Amino acid sequence: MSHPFDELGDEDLILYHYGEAADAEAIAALLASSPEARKRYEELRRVLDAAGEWGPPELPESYGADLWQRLRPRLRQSRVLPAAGRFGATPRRWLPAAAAAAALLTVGYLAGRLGHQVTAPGPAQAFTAEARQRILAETLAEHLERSQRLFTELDNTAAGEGAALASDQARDLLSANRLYRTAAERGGRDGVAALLADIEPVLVELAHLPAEPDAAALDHLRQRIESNGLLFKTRVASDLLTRSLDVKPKHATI
Amino acid sequence: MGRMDGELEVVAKAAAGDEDAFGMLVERHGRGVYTLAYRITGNPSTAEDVVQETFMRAYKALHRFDGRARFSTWVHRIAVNAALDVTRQRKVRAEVAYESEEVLDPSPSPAPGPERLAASADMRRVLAKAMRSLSPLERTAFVLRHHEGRTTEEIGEQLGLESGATRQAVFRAVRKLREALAPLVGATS
Repeated sequence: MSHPFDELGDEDLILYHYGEAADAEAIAALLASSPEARKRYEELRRVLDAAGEWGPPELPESYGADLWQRLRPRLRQSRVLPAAGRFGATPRRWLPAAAAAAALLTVGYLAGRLGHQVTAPGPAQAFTAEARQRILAETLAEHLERSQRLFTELDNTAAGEGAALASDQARDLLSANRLYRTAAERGGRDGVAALLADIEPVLVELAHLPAEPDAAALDHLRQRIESNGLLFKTRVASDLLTRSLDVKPKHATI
Repeated sequence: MGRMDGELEVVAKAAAGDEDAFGMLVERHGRGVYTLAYRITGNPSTAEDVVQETFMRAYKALHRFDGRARFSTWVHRIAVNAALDVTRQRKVRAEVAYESEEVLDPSPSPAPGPERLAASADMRRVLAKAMRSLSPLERTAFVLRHHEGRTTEEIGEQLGLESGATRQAVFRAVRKLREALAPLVGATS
């Protein structure tokens, strides 16, 4: 045989698999005649088939349209596209501020899980690890969802409208955000910490908005949100966490 | 109608400044670009940044698109460069994606569920870790070879590598993946 089994290495099989083996015919003949070679190739194929599953969580159907809505203002800001009327400027009412108490109460759980140097309050220890982790995921998902809603409303609000309520809500979110970020940093959860660190300066600015901010101040904030992709980042993270709760409500970990 | 339902015509309109035409291209190809960006970066936030950077670059370079390749191929090339640039610019640390996948896929599973679901969850978790263990170069070369179906020559051209170095990057990636995944697919590592 022109390609003895002893000389057939994984690299030959990889090239063969991708149709780039110089001696493909010889390898094919070997695979046809040698059960051992065929077994090795089948194992490689199973590994590569499994690796083919690598990809993002399922995207919403509206992803392309949503992307364009996010991208168009950036193109306009960079003067790539011609300027036009401000996109999506339909005023809405601010959503009511949700209480931050739950977030503050549960931060102990987060600290206990994410940051081993932070002592969780007593009640946390009464929960099973499973329940605690579920609460953690729920709390963080809710925090991110509220942040996203706030950013969305800001993007759709005219100057002066609802600013006071936005500031109140931002202050609540800011308190929780700082605690979560600190706990995440201590726990080495860099991805979560980085996302929360991106959110924080925007919340600080929102929390300190004057009672009747002018259009320039709101535009500045919108640009910060836009340039950091915060709407999308918070939505993706919140969706992933929420979905995890739906899929495995009893075993969520973070 | 021609390729991709008149896509060349849409590209031409976009290059001439037709905003809606460019929006059509973004809507049509955004999902594919995001998937590619995610596979290379392994991070949803970074992937989104890459997608936006890709289309910003694409719009500015539309006049250079000559139609010899599909628009999707062209824009995916831009996405690979953008992903590598972003990866170089920032240290992609522990990522929300992986953490979220850990939420989805706890290990060890504290309660026995349907075996199939458990195996699938284990596979996703192990696969995410295995992909993360690859270097950016290995991961990119592998994604281009395996998921994008690009040839060694094309990958080398994109990454600025000789063919031998490109093959070695893919080989190393497969070796690492095999070591990680073999126990779950009934293979020997």
